[in-house]
Amino acid sequence: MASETHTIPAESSNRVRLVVASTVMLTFISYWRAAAIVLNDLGSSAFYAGGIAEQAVGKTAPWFILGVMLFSFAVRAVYVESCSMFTRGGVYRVVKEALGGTFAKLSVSALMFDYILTGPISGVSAGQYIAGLVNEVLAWANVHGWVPRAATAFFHGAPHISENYTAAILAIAVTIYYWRQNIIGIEESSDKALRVMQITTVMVVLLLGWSAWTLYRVGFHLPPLPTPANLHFSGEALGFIRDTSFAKTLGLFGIMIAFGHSVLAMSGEESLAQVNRELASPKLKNLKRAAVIIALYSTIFTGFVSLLAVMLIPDSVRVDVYKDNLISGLAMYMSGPLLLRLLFRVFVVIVGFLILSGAINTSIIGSNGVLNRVSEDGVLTDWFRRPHRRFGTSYRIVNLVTGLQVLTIILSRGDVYALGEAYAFGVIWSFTFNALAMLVLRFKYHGERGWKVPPNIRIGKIEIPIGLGSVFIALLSVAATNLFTKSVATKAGIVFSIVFFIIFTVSERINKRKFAHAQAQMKEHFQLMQQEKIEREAIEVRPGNVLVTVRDYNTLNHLKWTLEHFDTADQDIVVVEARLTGYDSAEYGLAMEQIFSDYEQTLFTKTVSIAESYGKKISLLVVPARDVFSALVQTAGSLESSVVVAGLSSKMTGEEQAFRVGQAWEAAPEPKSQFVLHVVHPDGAVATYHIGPHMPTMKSEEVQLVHKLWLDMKKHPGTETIHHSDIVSLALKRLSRDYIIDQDAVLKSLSKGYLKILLGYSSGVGKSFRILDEARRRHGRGQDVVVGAIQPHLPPDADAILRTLEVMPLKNVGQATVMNVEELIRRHPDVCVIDGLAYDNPPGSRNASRWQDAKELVQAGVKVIASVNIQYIDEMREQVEAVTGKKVTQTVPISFIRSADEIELVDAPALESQAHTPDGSAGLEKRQQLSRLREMALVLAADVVDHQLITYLECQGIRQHFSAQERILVCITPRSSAKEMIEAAQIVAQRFHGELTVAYVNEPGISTGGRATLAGQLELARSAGARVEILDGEDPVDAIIDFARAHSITQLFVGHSHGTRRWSKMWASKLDKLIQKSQGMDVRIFPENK
Amino acid sequence: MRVLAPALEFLFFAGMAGSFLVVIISAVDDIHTILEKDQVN
Repeated sequence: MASETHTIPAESSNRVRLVVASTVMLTFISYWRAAAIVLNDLGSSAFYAGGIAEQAVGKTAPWFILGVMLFSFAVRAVYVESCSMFTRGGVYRVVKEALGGTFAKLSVSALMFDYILTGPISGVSAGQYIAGLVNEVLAWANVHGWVPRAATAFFHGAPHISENYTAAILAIAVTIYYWRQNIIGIEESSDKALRVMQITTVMVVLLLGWSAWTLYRVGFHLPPLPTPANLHFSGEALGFIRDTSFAKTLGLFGIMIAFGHSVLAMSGEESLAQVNRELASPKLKNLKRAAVIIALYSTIFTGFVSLLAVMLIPDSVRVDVYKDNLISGLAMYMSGPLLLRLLFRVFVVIVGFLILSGAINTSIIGSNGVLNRVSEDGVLTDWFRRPHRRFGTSYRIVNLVTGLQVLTIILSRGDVYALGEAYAFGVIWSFTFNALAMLVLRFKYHGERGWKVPPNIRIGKIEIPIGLGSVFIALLSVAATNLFTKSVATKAGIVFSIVFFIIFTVSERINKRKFAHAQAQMKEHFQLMQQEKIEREAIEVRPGNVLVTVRDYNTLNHLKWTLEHFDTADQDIVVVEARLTGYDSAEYGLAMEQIFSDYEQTLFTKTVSIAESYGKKISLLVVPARDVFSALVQTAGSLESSVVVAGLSSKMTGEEQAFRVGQAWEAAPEPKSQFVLHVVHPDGAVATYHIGPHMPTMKSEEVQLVHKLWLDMKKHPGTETIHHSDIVSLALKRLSRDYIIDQDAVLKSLSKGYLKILLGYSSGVGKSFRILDEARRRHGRGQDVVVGAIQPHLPPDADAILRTLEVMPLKNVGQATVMNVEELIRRHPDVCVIDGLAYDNPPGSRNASRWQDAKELVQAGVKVIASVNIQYIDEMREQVEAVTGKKVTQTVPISFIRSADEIELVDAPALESQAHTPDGSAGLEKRQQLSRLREMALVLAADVVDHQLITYLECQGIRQHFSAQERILVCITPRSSAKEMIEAAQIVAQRFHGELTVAYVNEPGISTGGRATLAGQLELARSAGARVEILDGEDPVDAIIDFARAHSITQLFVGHSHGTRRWSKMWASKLDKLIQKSQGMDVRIFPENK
Repeated sequence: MRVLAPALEFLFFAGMAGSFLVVIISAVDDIHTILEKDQVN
């Protein structure tokens, strides 16, 4: 399908092009899940509708409930037609289009009355079920004499709680819980809805089956038929006509009154529209399927439960005791042992609590959605919609809605009947307005419409909507009747609607001027372009672009990071806002100006100004979405992005964010491509994750191994067509085969070993004691520790520890002994201790040196703790010899030391270690020697840590600059004070045992004199022991920075010109650029020669 | 009320009769929808 594109014509060329995707990014659900979501709301009315209706109209009520449920099939048809229309905007816009602004405001007020009351009635009803159960259990305990006498005396009988007050308190508690959930923005899950409905279905099946068996056993009488003679209205049920003469001769009008009191049984039908847009394809068919499931389920559940309650629960207790928890009453009057019935009642209460508390959440989400849409239309000021600083939710609306709900609960004091009457008022008027809007739109709307309520008769050119009209007039007549018969509800409903109507009207007036101004500003700064679906070509970006997600204009550090680290010449940057839309938006798509509202304008204005400060061009995009992660993955797919950058969420860790993106990626439809996700933390740290299947990060030695194997194999005939990939492929096939044969062995082999090295600078510093002490501590913590090799002579304290540990006997090879590597691998301890790495194994051993044994153990997944003295490190041998004058032959390569996961310096101060020397001599020379050896060991340890950091950062794809050892880069020019700079750098390098590099960036057209000066400077650098580098590059700043980053430079020494004003300015700007780009390095500036 | 009630009664019963037709016709349509197989693209 080609996507539709609308563009607001460009009036000014410098406006930023901004694409607004109008189709909500949804994760599609099956019709079963959709039905479950709706039934969570609709099915909850079964818990209170029957009781309320019987209190109002008497024992014949179940017939009216059944009638209402059958009528709900027709109402459902209206909602199916409404969903099948392709209109944008939300309830307010659609009704406004059909009936005008006043009706639209009234319609939204009625809908809000319906939504807001759903919470209190559901919460109070759940509380009534719990309180009723508590009282029943207390009465039961009292009968059995389990209640203390003092309690019985206090309550003058069986202890009990006030059901209404308890219900009110519980309802407030649950409302507050969901208020918090909605402020945080915890999403509704269709899984949860499905699970609740599965449990509810178990309850319904048990309830119906057990009831049928009970009826079979005890016999039954149907409730009196719904004739005017059988109607017995309570005083309250007649409302304003209660004391009129008309009340005595109601006749058929009584039927209407009774129907009006039962109408809340179909409350929740409107939820069908909410889930419509999330339905998987074929949408209309699945909508109808979901609608059929919903209608049948609710008819059976709500209708039959009310009927069975009248047939099974005795008249004497049905209204008096169980009016507010009718299903509990039904459970108690089944045939069977009391304990079983009580247990079933507990089950009913649990199910009731689950489904009713879910309805509270749905009501908050629904109200939030409606008010958000109304706010976007300028009918409610933007103040309401301002997102929460931390969670990004429209918390002010959530506060308003839950505040009104708590107020309603307090005013009702836990009375379900009063709440139910008011609720019915909201439900019927909300349905009536919707039906009226649909009826008018039949004549006014000529766009796409998937389905129409039948029957329709065509007379000439006019089509008469018989079915739709019938449903409307039936609803209107009941709504009008309710005005007269529900006095409290009518008053409350009218007051509520008027208050909301006034708020809407006043807000709209306030907003009008502001809105016009904002619209003008928007047109001035942004060139809005609406797209049905996101297409890369429309946004005009190249494949492999960088997608940056933004939400809060106060936290745009990750955008700055992106602008710093990506060059827009190579990769385009697209800034996307996934605009979260509530439930209500699922019914209708959003209009462009609703999506790109005042808030988005502020957000994008800030975004653009940041990009401008970096001198980089960005593209802007807004996508409406129900799930940010899913929207992000879908957008990245549509735009063929290779990198996605996000800020750290306030609700989850970077790992969790990446996991959610990964989940969304897995759920996304094919074709989908991999991308890299960078999560930028507020402190500037960046975590990188590969989303989707990706190439593993291979170490250079692994690549070398593949290459070595390939070279070796190529020597054999018939191997011309073998490639590196064939070797990897074969290795993987063998691994998967081994994995099938022996999973444990493979997993054990894959378990990563660990190498910890204790580094000493001289013998006698206490390495053996330290290594054995660590082994003792680990053993004490329950780790399986084995000593693989130990020094032949130990001090007494170390020897005492050794006796408490398991020692693997050495193996004889000829006359000599070596560490038993085979046995250690087979034994596979948690930790293996090797005291002394620098030993050459005798010929015929498994490995030539002991450090190779240690390496093999690490590769086998064993944690190795080993010790070595600095004098045995191959690459440091000469340096140490120069200090000590002693030669060693057995060595360990520095690469092995660098491969350690952890290095610990056994750092006894020089004087202390001296006391342990065999001769005990304490000459000054010896002390100096030890101090120098100690310094060397410290530098080596720092070097290893540095190496580890670089490896870690590389593996994580972090291009962050970080170093543990000083590396100084002196940048010279013929004009610089090179001597002064090199000398200063040399002092720093010597002081910190750092590396010194002197670099010069080739300058075209350098004079002969300049060339001579430079040659002298470079010679000076060489004599100071510096490495000299000549760099090339169009931009000297870029050349220096690239070199510095590649060589992990920590300190930059540069010169600063103070020549003519013009040159001074030019160099100053270069210096600024250098400082800006040298993040992570210290920059020292030297004045240049005059 | 005595004047309004008959008008409302007429609307209600007429509306209910029409709604009954809606339920019957859409039920037939629903059965077709449920039995119909989804087209695989």
